[in-house]
Amino acid sequence: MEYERFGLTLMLRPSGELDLVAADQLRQVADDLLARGRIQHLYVNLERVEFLDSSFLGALLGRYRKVAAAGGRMGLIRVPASMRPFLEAAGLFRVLAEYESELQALTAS
Amino acid sequence: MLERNQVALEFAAIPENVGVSRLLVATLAGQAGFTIAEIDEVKLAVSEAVTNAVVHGYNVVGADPREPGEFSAAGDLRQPAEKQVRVEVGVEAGLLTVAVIDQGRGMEDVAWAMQPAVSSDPERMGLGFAFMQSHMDSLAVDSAPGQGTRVTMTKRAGGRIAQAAAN
Repeated sequence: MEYERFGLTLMLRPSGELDLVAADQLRQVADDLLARGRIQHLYVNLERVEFLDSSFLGALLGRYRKVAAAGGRMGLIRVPASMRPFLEAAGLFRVLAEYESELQALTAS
Repeated sequence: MLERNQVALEFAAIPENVGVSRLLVATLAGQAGFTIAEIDEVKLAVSEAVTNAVVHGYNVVGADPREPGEFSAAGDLRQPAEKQVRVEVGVEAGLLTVAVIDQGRGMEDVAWAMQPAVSSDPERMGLGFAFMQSHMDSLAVDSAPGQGTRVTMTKRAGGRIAQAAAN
C-alpha cells in the first residue's frame, strides 16, 4: 500500500479493491509506525479506490481507536461519491473527518 | 444479454481469493444485464460472505461463537490447502443466485451472528450479514457447529424498478 510520511502524519494512498488483504496491509503499515511513535496522525486518500468492504472499514475504525487514544487526528480524503452511502450507513463519518484534498487535511489542526 | 449461465468455483480459503470470487460474480452479473450499481452491490455482498467463510469458517476460535476468538488481525489467516470455499453462481432470466459454502466450524446461533454490529472480533464490524441483507433481495444462512456454513443470496436485475412498476 502506497504511503508517504509528512513529519508525524502518515498519508495512505490505497488503490483498487480494498478487502481483507488491504485491511491487513493497513494494519501492518499504520500499527508499526504508531507503536514506534513515528506517526501521530493518519489520513487515507480514497481517490483511487474502486471498492471497499466491511473488512477494510473495520481496519479503518480499529486504526481510529489507536490514533484517537494517542491524541492524534484521523481523516478520509476524496471519498468517491459512489461509496458515500455505504460509509454513511457504517457510521464512519461520525468519527472520521473528511477533506477535499491532501493539502487541506495536512493543514487542518 | 445472457439468459442463462452457471459457474461453480472452489478455492483455497485465503484472503487473496475473496477478490477472485468478486470477479466471478461481477462477470456473471454483467452478462445477465445487471447495472454497474447493481454489480457493485452484488460484489459487496459476495465479498462479505466469502470473507466470513475465510475468517470465521476456518479459524481456530472458541467453540461458543459468543466467546471472543483467538483470531487476531495480525494473525496468519493462511489456511492449509485443503480448506476450501465453494462459490456457486447461477443466472436465469435476470435472477442471480449465489451460494457461498464452507466446511468450517459453522455457527450454533445463526440469528445471533446475523445481528448488526455483533462480531467475535473487535477489529471486525459485524456488519457482514447486514450488508448482504441490504444489498441483495434475499439471504438465507444454513449452519451448524462442525457442519460448515452455506449462505445463499439472490438478486434480480432491475429489481427495484420492476417492483415499483408492479406496485
